[in-house]
Amino acid sequence: MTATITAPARLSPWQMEAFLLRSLPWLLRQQLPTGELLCYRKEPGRDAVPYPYPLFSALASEALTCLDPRSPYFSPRLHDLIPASRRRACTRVIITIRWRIRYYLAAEEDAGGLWRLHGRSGSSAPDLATTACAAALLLEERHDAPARHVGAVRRLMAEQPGDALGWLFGLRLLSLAGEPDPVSLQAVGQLIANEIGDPIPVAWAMDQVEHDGHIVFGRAIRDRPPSAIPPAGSRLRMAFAVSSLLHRGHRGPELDRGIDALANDPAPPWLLEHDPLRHFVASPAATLAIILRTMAQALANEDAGRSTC
Amino acid sequence: MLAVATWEGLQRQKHEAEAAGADFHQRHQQEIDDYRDAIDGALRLGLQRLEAAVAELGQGNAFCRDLAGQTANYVEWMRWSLGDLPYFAFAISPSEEQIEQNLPGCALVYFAGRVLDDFLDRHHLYRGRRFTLLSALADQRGLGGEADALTVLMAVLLTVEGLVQVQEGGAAGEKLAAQVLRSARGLLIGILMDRSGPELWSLEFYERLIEHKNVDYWRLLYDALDPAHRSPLYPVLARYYALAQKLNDLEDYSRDELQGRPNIVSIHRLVAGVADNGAETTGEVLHSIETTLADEMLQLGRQARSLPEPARAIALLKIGEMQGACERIGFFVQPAEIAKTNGSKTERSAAKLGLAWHSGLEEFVQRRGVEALERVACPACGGDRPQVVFRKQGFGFNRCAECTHLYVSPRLRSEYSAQLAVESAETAYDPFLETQKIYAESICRTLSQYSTGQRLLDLGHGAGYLMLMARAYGFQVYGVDASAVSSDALKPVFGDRLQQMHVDEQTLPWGNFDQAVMSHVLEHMAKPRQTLPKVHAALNSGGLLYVAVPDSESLQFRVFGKKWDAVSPIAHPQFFNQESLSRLLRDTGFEPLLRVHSPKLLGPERKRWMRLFRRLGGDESGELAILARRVPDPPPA
Repeated sequence: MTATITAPARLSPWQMEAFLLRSLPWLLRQQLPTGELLCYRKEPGRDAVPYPYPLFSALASEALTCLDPRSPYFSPRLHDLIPASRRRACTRVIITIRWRIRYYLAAEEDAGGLWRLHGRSGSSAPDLATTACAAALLLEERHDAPARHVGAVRRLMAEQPGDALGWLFGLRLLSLAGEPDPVSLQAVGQLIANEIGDPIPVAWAMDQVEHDGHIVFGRAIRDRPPSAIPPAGSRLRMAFAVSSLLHRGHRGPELDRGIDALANDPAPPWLLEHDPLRHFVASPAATLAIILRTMAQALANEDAGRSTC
Repeated sequence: MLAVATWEGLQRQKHEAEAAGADFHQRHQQEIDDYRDAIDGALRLGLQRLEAAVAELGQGNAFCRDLAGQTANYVEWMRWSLGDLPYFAFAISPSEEQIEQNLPGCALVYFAGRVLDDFLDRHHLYRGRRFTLLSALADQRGLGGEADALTVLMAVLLTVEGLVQVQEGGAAGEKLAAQVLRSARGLLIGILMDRSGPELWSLEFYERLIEHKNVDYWRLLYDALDPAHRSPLYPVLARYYALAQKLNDLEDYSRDELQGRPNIVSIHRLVAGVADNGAETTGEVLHSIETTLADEMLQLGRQARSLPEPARAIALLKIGEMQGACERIGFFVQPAEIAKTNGSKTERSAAKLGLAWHSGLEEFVQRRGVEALERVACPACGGDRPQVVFRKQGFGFNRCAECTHLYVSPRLRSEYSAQLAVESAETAYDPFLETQKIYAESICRTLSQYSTGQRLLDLGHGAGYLMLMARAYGFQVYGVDASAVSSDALKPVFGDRLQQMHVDEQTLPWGNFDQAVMSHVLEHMAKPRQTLPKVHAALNSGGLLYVAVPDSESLQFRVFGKKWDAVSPIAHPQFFNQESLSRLLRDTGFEPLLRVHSPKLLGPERKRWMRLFRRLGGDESGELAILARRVPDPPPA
């Protein structure tokens, strides 16, 4: 018997093309000479100021794998939306951004395989999420993770027991390094069950663990994070939520609205509102990269929707 | 001086508190930030409800809405005074609903107390930083009864609105409202007691005064989180706030005595039967109070240590902060016996000035005698042919007949202005530092255009806008600033590339810079002719120096004269024009390259007066910015 599953969200190719063509050159301009992507900190009642936050560079680099043909997560559908005459240039931009981020993160590594929250030159505390994501990124071109990175992540997991986002990324690194840790998995489950941390990014990070780390969370844990699309305003959270719903195989008009809002938002990236993830810090470039990846995911889902079974 | 055992006990306590504080922040900063957001959100909610109620009941009356808007604006600015609440919330763990239900109302009543205090103490400028509601109303309605009456009315309205909001929480809300009313009644009685004459003062009076004026006042807020006072933290905090007020009194006793207000020192002196205010007697009384308070601090520490976690860590954290503040103002210093063994200094640091940037010459002379002042020659050219042009705050501004530089003489000695800067930084954030952000990018663009290297030194980095922007522009940034607060705030990003120091007194720790920036720094310096050679030495041959100062030939100065806020005899003893600044630069080994004009502000920040100033030939900033170059070294012979 053959049945066709309805395509969940229809992305108009010309809208996606316009979105890509205006985003990529801007993304390149958001990269500092050091290789880091510009981040801004905006405390309540103050204006935004450029503020170093390496985690966003790492997250953006991971997200941009969807347009990097060398990556296993490359999305040919997204790539095809770029006009043929511009594809080579766009690919060059993505590859350049990614290798510059990689060199930046390598230069930011502190003694003991740690990454600090605001970069190596300051006195900020080592950060678990930053360390785990940066180490995972450097692992991309190697087969084995340096023991110092794995050790550093384990140490930080012990020191920062309440950091759900950090623990999830830590767990993913351990899994990528071939050292999956059932005890940590249990501890993360506990953190999520106790609703520690912002649930939308935590749910998204959980998907990354499942996707990259090949770890499957129990149903009880997976079902805890909210499945609803957040109200408009935060494009980053919207992208996280849409990505999570796609990952979990949801369908429906609510998801379509979320995808529509991401792809067809009339605000250009340089006018994005301050959209912090943690510590009042936001990175429009990283937000954009994560939106791009979510788009790639949506396109892949459309393909799956058209397939027959 | 304290007994050795007491001092050692305090030191141990301080170290324990510091360790507990560091550990706590490392583990729970995120939760504290979350609570801070929730509390800020609750306050904003309370203010929105206030404004909505005024708009609805007043049928959109523009005057009422404007008053409510100004009050809300002022209260929102004052939200920093809720800084301790997130920590207490962490220990008490109230639900989000409880914070949202109780806090908006309680906070409004709490801030009503602040507004009332401004009225009673005639605060027009809050600690020299921001105009108060009283001041804003006096601006609109004139100094006098009407502005006063409106201020009191707004305080009453805040209280009533707060109580209405608290009561809306059902039965629990009604119970809490009764508690808030009791605390508010205590506060009002405390304020009345504070006005009573010395014939009614006694030690019991003082304890009761603190209980009402400070502890009851604190309870207004605390009850929002823990209405039943179930947290083990409660008794410790009640004691902590009483002790904090005593230490505060110790700091401010000279000001209180001048105003005839009850103060721990005056009361102890009165009780001891000492009538005169002689230095010897004051010293003895201060010593006795210091010893008593040190014992109280140790007892409080013991009580805190017996608490379960996390109340223990939070109580210790607050005690550590209080102890650190005491040491900074010169109390609980190392006893002579220990200092002798260690070979360190034991001098008590100067007692707090308790004055502000807007204080007058007479006030400084009253507090510190005529030794607080010094007469100087022209700091720009060294000439000594001054002519008094005008006076402000009692200080004379002189014009140098040789270089036309405007400078203050006699002026406040630099150690006192430095002390004033430290005291001001401790009490409130300086909003003038925020204006730096406007020109940070323009400075970076100018330097990128002319520079040949990446190493940049920011002298007087303030809030760090330029440093952060320059870093984003790819410069390798270093910074120095006299303020420890400013320096500490940027340490997470710049680490060892920051140094807290007084450039006019110390040598710069680094060198070989390709550019240096002194944006609104030189006008603060007592001896610019001695400071610039240090910058010269830190620059490479041909390196750039960007200097910006308020311009004494700007349109602002021509229009507003001495009323321009840049004319401040204490903060800015120098007032340059292009001629005097260029001459100073040339005399110290620099070659002025160009005058950098302020960029036009665009967007919503561009106000009507700014357009007017541009049309009249001036600009928004009224600053004089010069890009100079270190004169290249002659080639080796």
